[in-house]
Amino acid sequence: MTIETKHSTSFDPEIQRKNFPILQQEIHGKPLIYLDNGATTQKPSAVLEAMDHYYRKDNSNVHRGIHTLSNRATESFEQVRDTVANFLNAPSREEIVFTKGTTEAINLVARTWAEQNLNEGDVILLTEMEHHSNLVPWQLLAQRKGLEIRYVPVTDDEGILTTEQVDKMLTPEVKLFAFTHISNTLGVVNPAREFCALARKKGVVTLVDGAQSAGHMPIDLQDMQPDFFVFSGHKTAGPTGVGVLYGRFELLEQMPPFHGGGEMIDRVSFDRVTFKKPPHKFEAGTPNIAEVVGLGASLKYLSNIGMDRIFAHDHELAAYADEHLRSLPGIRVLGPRQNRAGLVSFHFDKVHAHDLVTFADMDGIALRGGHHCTQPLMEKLGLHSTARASFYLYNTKQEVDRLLENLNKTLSFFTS
Amino acid sequence: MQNLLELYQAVILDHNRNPRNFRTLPAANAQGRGENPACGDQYEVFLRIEKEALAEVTFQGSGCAISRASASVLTTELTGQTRAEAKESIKAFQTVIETGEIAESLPVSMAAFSGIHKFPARRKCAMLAWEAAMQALEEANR
Repeated sequence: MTIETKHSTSFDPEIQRKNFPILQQEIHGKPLIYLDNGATTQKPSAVLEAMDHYYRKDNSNVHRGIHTLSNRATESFEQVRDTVANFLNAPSREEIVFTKGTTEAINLVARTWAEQNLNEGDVILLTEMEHHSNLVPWQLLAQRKGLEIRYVPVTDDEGILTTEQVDKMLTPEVKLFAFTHISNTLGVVNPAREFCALARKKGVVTLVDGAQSAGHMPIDLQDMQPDFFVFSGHKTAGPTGVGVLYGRFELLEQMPPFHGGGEMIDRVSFDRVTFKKPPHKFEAGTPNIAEVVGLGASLKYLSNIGMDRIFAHDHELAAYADEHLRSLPGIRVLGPRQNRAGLVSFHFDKVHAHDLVTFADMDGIALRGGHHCTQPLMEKLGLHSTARASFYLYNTKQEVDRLLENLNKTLSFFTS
Repeated sequence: MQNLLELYQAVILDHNRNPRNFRTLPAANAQGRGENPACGDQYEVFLRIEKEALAEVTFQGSGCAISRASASVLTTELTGQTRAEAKESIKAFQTVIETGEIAESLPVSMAAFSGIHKFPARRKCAMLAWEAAMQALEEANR
């Protein structure tokens, strides 16, 4: 799979860096090199200012006020629904539900659509590379309802899943296929469009976990055609505490509500209640308005740079790191050799990931070490932990060089 | 770099490379398990208690240099101690990890871990096997 580049020129990460105040600091006396973007991305001034402006000028509750501030807050909040719909090229704004994040969005689908539609003996198909957030909600549901979970297997360190594998596993008992768009451990980009098409042909509902993809590559839901697509704001240069559930309107309409409370009701009397239409049916209580406003600012910021260019940039850094890492002694690099997303996980036979991450930190480099919330996958690969470098639009080749220097230093410390 | 050297003292590097008593103990009559769910590090500590004393102490498992070396040091320090002494040693080690303060009577191999209190994220690594040993001792009391 290749990502088409619409923009002819690339952007300059050195210029982008200046928009991220947090990057202008030293850690242990060295310039901060932030390579933990798979966990969360940093926020540009545009996002910080939008949230600050909201609280200083527009703060009010949404959807129920008559006064000016309430109108402004409602308008800012609802405009972001359009921004998200445009960003994802979703068929309509009514299909965009604001959540706390990816995890809540998946739990919402598990507790509403799946609770209502799956019955004992039905099968949920996942893949072996899922993050715990796309495993545990289904395991809880399966225990409660007597469902079976099957996994599309990861067969080697590259971790590429094929349409043949998926097609074979989409048997008549399968009612839901939930899979990650980009693996946070392997850097594999799954062919979501093809997987969704196969499932649709067999009447299987699909959920695509876009936590690692939405902020890093162009998303076109009208082309991908999933039933559900979820992502988190904090991994798209936006704030924590906000995420998105896209759901096909027909499904959202039939689903029962998730949480009950204000905002989501049409009419309430002492003995009965009717609900609003989607998306508001799923947004009980006062929403996280400032975070939604911040999310809107982050998606605009990313769109202005161009998602195709961001993907190309992240990929280039990861491919460069991959190539040079493989020449280090005793290393095992996970993930695909081609079309890698912007991250690379690796394991040294002589140095544990935690020691590596501590040594990197002393040089101002933020890496992640551990199982990356994909314990079953790590077990399958026979690993307890890996170190991971994950890149974003403000990272540079010079930073990758600094990482390689640091790793060489750490290796010689532990092996000489 | 100074902090790092302190963290990974010669003692720690040595025990990491050549862990002592790194094996299971079929004759064990108490054992404990330490696991750090955040990173997947896990150790098992085996005790063979004869009368009141720890006749043999071994460990098995995997983890970072800090956790492995501290588990290895644990086995060398606790072997031969009485149950009460072993509990005191574990408490003393915990103090070193949390405060960096070294009591005069503290063995060098335990004092080597004093740099860890400056790295809060790594304290759990150092304590993993020691918590497992405490668990084994308490289990043996029952």
